[in-house]
Amino acid sequence: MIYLDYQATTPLDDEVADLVDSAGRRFWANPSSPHMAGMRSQEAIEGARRKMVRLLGCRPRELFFTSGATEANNWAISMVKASQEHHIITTAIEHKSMLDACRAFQRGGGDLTVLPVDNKGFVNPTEVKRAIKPTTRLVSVMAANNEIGSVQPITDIASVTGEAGAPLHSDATQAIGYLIEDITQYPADLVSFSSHKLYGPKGIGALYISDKFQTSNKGVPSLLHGGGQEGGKRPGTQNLPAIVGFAKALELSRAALTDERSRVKQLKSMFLDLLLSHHPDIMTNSPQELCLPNCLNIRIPGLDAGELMSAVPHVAISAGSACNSNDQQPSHVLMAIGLSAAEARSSLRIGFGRTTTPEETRDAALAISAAVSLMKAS
Amino acid sequence: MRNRSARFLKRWLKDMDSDESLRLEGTEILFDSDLYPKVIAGAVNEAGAGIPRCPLIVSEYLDLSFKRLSASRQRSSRVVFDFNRVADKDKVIKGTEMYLARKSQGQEAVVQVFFDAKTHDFVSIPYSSEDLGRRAA
Repeated sequence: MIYLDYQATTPLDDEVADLVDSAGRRFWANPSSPHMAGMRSQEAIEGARRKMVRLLGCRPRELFFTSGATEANNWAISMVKASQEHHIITTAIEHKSMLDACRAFQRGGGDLTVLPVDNKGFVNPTEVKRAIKPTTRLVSVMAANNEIGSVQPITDIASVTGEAGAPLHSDATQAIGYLIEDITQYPADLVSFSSHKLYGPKGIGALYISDKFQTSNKGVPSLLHGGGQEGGKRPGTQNLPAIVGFAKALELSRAALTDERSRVKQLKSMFLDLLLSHHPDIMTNSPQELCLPNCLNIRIPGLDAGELMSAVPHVAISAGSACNSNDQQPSHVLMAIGLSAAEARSSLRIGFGRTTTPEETRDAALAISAAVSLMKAS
Repeated sequence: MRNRSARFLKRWLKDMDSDESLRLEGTEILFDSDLYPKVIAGAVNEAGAGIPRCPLIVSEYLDLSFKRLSASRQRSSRVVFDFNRVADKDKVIKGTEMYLARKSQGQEAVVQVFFDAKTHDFVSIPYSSEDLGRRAA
């Protein structure tokens, strides 16, 4: 199989897998237990946290482990009490975990604005400015889109939210491995991200909550209720092996960040060039500039993406977000950039990653190309 | 150390704004912790006097230790290794955070070493002013 679905998830790195396995065997005691074995577990978690905050540039108390980015997104939205006096702004192309959390806020009586995007998936900071009200309590704009790869103008958006005194949250799940180095230089007050997009284990993510946000909000309300883990802000026995693996995965991703960024970008260009040389009518839904280096979304006029995927079973690609794949609805992201339902259904997402080789890229492009030719001929 | 802590509470109860990381809730004096949901620094008795609890006493002990270190030649960065019983884990970690968050002047670290005298087993957990120091306003 040629795996080209790196926006959905990444394979677990071997070194990370070994560490997760050994951590699970060595540090099985409850990190909250008041005995030597428990303290070893606690120190393993705090050691992982120290490693991550060094890599991200933040402080330990700004980094909270969660079960993934979905929980982190839900937690960020839950910090705003649902009422007509509280307003949240988000965008039409956010991940389902953000949009659904926002809809739940709205159903609970909260005031919600969902901003449109342009035909390449960019949010206009002027639109954000126009939407802000005196009651705006949170603005949430993802760093980079998981279906088409558009990288949002977060610095400009942060200028607008900063002027208005509205906190900014950003889902950086797709961006953390390629675009964000020092998280304190990234101009959001809250940032969600996840391990499994970084070749780390599934079931672990984090919410960065800046000191500034914590101070101005006089603390952080928790999403869950229970024990005193994560300072009582995210109760529940920590997933120690996954936390240790998450830290290692982040470390490995940082070590090769620049090289990997340009390598996958080259693979993406090579794939698209090859495909276009056979089928010049193929269109790109992804923006040319300001796009995730490893994400490509294309549209093949007149063809059904599902049928095409079935025609190349040895190439793992996707017709959109994995989290939406059981919806039987055209992608909300593609609809938001102005595609018709038929156009959205003829779109494919191709994601490149650490294990993708140039040979695989060429083989996949040729296989898809041949399948398109066959389908067009039939 | 208990008396030193009691003197601190006496001063604080007269001027609560002098340390905003502490607050009075009923008869309990609570520290605003990042590591624990609740840290009781002291209590107020019927006569209105402050009674220090373990975390505050540990914090005062570290304050004194670092003051002694600063008076010595080691002025740039200072580390205190503090050996404790496993059973005292939470109170000493709470006290360490109370010191580093409230009083540390930077470039200070406390390594809490939890030691089992019978098995000679130990775990060391480092805490630094860089990690736990005051928040930017």
